[in-house]
Amino acid sequence: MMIPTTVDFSGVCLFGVVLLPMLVGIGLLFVPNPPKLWLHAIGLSVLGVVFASAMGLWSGFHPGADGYAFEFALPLGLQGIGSSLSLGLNAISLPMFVLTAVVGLAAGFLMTDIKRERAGLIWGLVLIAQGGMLGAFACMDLFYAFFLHEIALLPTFIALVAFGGADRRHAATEVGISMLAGSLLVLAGLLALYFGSGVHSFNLVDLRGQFEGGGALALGWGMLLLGTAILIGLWPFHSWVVRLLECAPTPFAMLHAGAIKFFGIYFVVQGFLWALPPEGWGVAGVVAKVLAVVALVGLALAALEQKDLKRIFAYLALVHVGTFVLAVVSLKPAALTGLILAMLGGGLALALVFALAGRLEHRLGTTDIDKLGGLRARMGKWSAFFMGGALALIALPGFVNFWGELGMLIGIAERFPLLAVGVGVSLGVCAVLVLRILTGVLMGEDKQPRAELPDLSRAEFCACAMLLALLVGLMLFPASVTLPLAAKSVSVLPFYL
Amino acid sequence: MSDFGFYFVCFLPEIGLALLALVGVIVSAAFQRLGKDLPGMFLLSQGIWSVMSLAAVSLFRPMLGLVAHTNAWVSTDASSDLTCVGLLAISLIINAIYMYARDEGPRRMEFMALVAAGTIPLMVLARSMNLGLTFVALEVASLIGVVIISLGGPGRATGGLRYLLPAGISAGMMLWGVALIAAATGTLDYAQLPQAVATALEGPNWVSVGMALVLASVAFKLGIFPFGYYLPAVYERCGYAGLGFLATLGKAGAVIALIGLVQGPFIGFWRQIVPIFGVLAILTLIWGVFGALRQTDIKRLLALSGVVHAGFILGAVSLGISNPAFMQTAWFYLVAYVLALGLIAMVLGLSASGSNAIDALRNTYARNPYLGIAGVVGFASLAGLPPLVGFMAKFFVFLRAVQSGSWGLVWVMIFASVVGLYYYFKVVLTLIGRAELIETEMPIAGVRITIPRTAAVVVGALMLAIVLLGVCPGLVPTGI
Repeated sequence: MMIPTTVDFSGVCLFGVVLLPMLVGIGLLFVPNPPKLWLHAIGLSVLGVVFASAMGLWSGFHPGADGYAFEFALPLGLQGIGSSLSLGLNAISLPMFVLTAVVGLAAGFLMTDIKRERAGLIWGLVLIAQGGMLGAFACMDLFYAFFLHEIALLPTFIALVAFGGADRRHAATEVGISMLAGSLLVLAGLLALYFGSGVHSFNLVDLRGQFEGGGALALGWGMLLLGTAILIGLWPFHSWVVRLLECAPTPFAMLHAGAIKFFGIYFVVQGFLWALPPEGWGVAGVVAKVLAVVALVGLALAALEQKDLKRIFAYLALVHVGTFVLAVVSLKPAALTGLILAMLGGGLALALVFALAGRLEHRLGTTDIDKLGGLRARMGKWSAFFMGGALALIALPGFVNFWGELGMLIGIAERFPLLAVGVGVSLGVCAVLVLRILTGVLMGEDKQPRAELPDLSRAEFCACAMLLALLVGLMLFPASVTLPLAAKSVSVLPFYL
Repeated sequence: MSDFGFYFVCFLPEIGLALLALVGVIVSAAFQRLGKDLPGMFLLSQGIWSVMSLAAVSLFRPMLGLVAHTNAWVSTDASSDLTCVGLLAISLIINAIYMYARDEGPRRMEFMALVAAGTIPLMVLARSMNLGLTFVALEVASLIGVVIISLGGPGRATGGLRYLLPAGISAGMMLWGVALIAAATGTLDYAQLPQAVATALEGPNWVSVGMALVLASVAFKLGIFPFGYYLPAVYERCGYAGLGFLATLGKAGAVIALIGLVQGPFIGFWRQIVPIFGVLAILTLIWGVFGALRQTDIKRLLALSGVVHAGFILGAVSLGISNPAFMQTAWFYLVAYVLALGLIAMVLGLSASGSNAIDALRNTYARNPYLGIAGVVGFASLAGLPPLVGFMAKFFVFLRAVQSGSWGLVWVMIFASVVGLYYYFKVVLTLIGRAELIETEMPIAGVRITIPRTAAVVVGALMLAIVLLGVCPGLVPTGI
């Protein structure tokens, strides 16, 4: 029963990459205050191995007829409902897998500067979250993808409590309840679709093209989408994401904004688009469009009112969610290809700006933009990376986000020309906001009272440089992501479109 | 092999445990002065006997070719064997909690012998095919429970008395119910009762009244709305070992009786029972979560969260009545609950400071990381978070509820799980505490909790079981 049904060396490697951080992370939980040097060495080694493996898998990606490569299956006792721990990467999951590995390593570099109690605990939590998220993206089985995503959420929550900023208790309560409510709704919707469809499998390859759709699945769809809306922080379920990103310790803010947050969108795109009823999105599409437009315009305007860097970036992340939702609802190939690129770019850029905001808070004790100014003269490297990350967020050419936004905008304009105007307005507002921040924080009068304001350390520089290099590199070579997506075997669109 | 020989072999786990309990009481009375190692020896003997019993039912019985047999009193099928071994394991966990809990005075072997003695009637209950035997087994276990929770420190007797009243009411109701059924049908044999009940319904409907009384009595023990009202008041006066006994063996006994009854003598009433159980499950879930929300006392919280879990189990049982293939879900949920509760009682016992306040657990992780993580694992499993067995248990109930189209139950279970996260994580946050505060605000954080190695082994085994069954539920029967 416990013997893998598919044994392939590359598949075993993928399994190992998912399992390694989780096992090491669990081990570190039992040693809260170990010598810092070997702790960082172990943590960074694990994340480094994961990163190198992810890059290796990316370069060796040659999908089979079903669109997947590196397949591995391990039955764990749920075969009766057509579920087993099946891992494999396709053109949609691979970029997300690589993104998680990159953001994880960047977060790991920042962890080496930890000078607080219980470094073992936070390292352990980061590694477990990393392993859970890698598994969630690499999973070909919808149930286990959900299961592993939940494993990634739990450490985030504990880290928020043990290492979070001010008001962490309220934040933890709101975050915990929102996460669980969203997750349970997704689970119930998943089960309703499973029984309603009559396919009796959670495997993505088995499910493809099998759903017949229809009214019987409406309830399942409703719960799945409501749960997803909560998990991705679509307006009006956005406040918990803001609290989380504001209060969570920097590595977790990076992991969440850079990878975990995208799981809801990824889950729907990867697992459910071909389960759409023949009439398309129907009422759910109308509701999604309304909520997305409010998110795009309303949250962009709300972001203008914010005074805290972390809150501003959290709002910008949520504005992006509105565009993502419109791209998914449009069901246009250009929009969906753009979506994958935008998630990749958005994840890298958000991880970068949250890393920088976190390190600034560490040095100055504040991220209030009214108290910041003239940093360019004091922290040259920090300022350069900050400018890069912020400009990438508003999808300026030069960063991969540009291709993502462009693809999504084309797809959305093709399907909903009027709504595309909303996306444009939102982008404009965000651009004004980012430029205002850049001029306020980097230029102008030096408002920092501290005589010494150290620039980025070597480890911080490595983390930021890695993220920025990928943002620029993928702008130059987007085909490494988009070409595999163009293959017919990957098509996530319903068969009748 | 003669009948006597057959039953002797089949009942070896019970006979061995009874002998152990007897020897325990005698040795305790006669040789208490020998030293403090006696309880340890008892625990070791019980552990060895549990392993031998597992070997007996899983290896020797098939080797001897002893097939399952059912008579008017008992059944010796494989599922009852499995249940008996499970009960043995639970009693071992409870005695381990007693052995290492810091809220107990000098260890007394009578307590351990009583736990063993209280397990025997439940093992008989697992094999019972007779309503009269079910009554006797359940009530004997209940009576022993009263004594167990009364033993130990100050205030325990109050707990025992608080438990005695509902136990008495429950026993009276059950006796009355059994008597009504016996009078109306002329039999208490599980095999004959379905037919006899159908015949008796043609006359005055005393059978339904009897059945309602018997089920209400079981609901008292399981903690179903509104019968579980007494649980918080009793739990707050228990030691952690006594609490463990009530919450694990007590609930297991009630579930065994309940499933035996609804699948046996009362099977003909399934159309009436299913909606009633469904509504009661929903009310129990709602009552439990709202009660648990306000608690600041860890024992009262465990009592009310136990009510919520009873609601989940009752929901699973109601789904299992409509479709017998689903009944395994209720058993799996029970296993998940017992493992998590056993671990929590062990952790709380090992870190007990004399106060029941949740705040007294502050910074347990800093004082002993191993215990802190174990506590987090236990409470996260109760909350139903992956990759722990509690998640799989809840998932299976969700799965069966959605499969049955019981959407009312699904929505309330989602609600209960979400609200449950709030009160479980209140404890988790307290256990972990905040990193920067260790040496400044919490002087107690500096006092490290030391635990014996054997206790660490028990805690580790429970944690391992919770994680393993969460990741690979197929290791035990799940019905999936």
